[in-house]
Amino acid sequence: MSAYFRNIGIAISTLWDGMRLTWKHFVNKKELNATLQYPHEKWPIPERHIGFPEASYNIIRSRLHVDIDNCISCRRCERACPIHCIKIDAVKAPKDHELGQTSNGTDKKLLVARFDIDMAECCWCNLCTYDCPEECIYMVGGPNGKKHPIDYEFSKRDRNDLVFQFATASDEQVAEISAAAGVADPRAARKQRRENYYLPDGGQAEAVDVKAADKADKPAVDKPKVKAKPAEPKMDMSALSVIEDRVVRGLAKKTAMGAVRAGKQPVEVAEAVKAALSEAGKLTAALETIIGQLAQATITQPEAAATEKPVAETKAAKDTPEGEIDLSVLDGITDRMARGKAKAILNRAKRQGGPVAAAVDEIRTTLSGLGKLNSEIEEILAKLEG
Amino acid sequence: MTSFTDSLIKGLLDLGLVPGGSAALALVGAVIFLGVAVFLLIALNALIAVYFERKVSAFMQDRLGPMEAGFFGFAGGKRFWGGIAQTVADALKLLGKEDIIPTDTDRKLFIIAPFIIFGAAFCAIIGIPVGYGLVISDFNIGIFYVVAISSVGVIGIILSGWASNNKWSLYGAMRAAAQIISYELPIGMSLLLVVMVVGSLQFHDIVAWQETNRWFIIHSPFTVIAFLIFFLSGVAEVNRTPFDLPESESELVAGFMTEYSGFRWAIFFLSEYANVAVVSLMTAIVFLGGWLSPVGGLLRTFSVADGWYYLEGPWWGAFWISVKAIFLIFVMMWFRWTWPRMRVDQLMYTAWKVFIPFALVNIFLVGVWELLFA
Ligand code: SF4
Ligand code: SF4
Repeated sequence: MSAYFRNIGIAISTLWDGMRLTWKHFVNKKELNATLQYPHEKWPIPERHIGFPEASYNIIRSRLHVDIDNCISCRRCERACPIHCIKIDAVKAPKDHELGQTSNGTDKKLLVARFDIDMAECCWCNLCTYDCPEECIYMVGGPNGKKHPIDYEFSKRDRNDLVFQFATASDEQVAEISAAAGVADPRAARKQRRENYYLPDGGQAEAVDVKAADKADKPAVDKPKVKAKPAEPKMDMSALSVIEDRVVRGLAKKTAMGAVRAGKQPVEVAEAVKAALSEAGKLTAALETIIGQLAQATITQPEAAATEKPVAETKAAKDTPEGEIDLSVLDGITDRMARGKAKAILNRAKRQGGPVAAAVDEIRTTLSGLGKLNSEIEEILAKLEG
Repeated sequence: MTSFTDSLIKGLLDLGLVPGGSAALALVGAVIFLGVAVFLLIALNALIAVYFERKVSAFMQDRLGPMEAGFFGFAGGKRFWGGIAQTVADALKLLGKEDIIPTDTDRKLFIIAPFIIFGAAFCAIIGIPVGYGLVISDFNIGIFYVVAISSVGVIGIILSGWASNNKWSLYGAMRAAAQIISYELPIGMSLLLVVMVVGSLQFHDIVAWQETNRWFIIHSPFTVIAFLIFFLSGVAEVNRTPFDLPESESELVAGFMTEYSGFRWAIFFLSEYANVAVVSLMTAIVFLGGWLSPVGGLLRTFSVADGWYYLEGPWWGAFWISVKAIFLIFVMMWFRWTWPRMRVDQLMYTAWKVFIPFALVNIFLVGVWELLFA
């Protein structure tokens, strides 16, 4: 029975103890409160003192900052960035517009109309900072602490606020310099695009294709679709193919090709090859005879008409179903190597719109040089000519 | 005794707002009006109480609680009212949530269960006066009605646990049944002694007795014990820590509420805080003098002077009863954030071996006291 009452007594006293304790905490919140209300209050940033001078600290991957007054708009940082989160628009100022100099003494020739870094995309690889010739883009804090205090948080309520805009040029300045330089004002163009894209009531225009508008915004340059290869003289070098030593063959061919491109005659080409090989200490009697054959080879000068043919026309020629050249005829050749070579030559001729007869001749010489020419192939080639 | 319903019916009839002057129509109008009012009151009560509870718990744990959400210039930050709109935001979030009814539940029971619990809390509030004449319906068996109707809530709890088809919920429901049946007894017995002394079950009579004599908590040494037993059992009735076994988060996830979400879950919450208010108001009325001013009460008790009654009257009464009830709600929160949850056997031990014997002995001793001193 006494244990029962003792039990109740202990229960009451311990419960009361607990309540006293929580009461103490309840009324003493000024002193005991452990919460730091983060955006409103912050801990001081601890100083780094590990026994080195500031400058020898490692870079702190905190936040990028651009000293825009020192930027020459060379766009190296933009190109270095692996994820393209730096966006620069620049206008080349005409001669009579001085933009001043950077602190390194470099003349600024371009006006920075836009220098945006999307820190939400940045991967803090720090690659952009190494390339900057003016050392004006850098990670803040650490060794750069003197230039800009560290900013390790930059928390924002809106993701768009993470696009840091560094360009300081005023709208008027950009407009003025663009007008003087005779180019489109990039900033006004961007604004216009936005306005076109978003209707006044906040909706989105259907008809405007933003990507197209973006493209249209860029200076229109009529780039040729296919780069025309510079017309080069060609020489039949199959004679050299019999050289067994790989290194020697390569050297010989390379030299010969260089000589041909330089506009040398076959005899001179052979001389050049001989000289190159003797210089390398590889020239033997057997090689000399092979190279001698080279002197007899012909150099085909490029046909101006063939290379200058517009792309569309060649395409059209290709599209004609019964073209002069039908590659499938060559499928009859059993020897794999010979078939490949023949097809390659014919194909090239077809692309350049050259005559079939010349191509067949070339095939013949090539294959005979390789010792692959036989009656079967002769028959097929004759069919091709006929 | 007038009640809100009576005066509303009378007012409607007097102003000629009821077509044909039919008393039945006036009653319907009054009931609808008061029902909506009570519902809004319960919702408001939950909003304020949750905010209060979060702040109390935070301060007791050296935190700050909600500090950011605000409105009308009361936007958070470092002010003490920081986060004043937190519960409003939470309520809107709850209402916006998907209403999930798990596939294997007993659909019908699952849907009505929260409303049974809510209905019980709602009905209990109807019988409780918050000042002289400030009651929606003045029952002459008020105490009996409130105790009886608030126990109906346990049916809702058992239904929700059963219908959820979830072991945690079922455990929670079974615990709730055992707990509420056990704690009904000490509650009834501690109230019995009050009823015995006053000779009436009507709240107004009990307060009137306290007005002419003294508050029940200081009626005799035994009523202090009765007060403690009643209040603690009340805490157990509304399933709050340390008696929150039915919904113990750490063992049963949320007990009978595990499968509920969104609006239905909000209904559980509303009823929980409505029940908290009911228990506090009951305790305040029965033991702490109801709407009597403590000033006048003290003066009367010690017969110092008469005539200091300017702090009394129906609206002052509402103020005083709110102060007492809010204090008791605070104490409940204080319990909650101090005491650890009981084990099931400790819960039963407390009810059957401590509270009930003490309550029984109390009845006897108070009877003796009344014989000797009344
Ligand atoms: S740190 Fe790397 S990712 Fe970030 S802007 Fe520079 S180059 Fe781009
Ligand atoms: S590399 Fe430096 S100077 Fe060049 S554009 Fe970037 S920030 Fe400007």
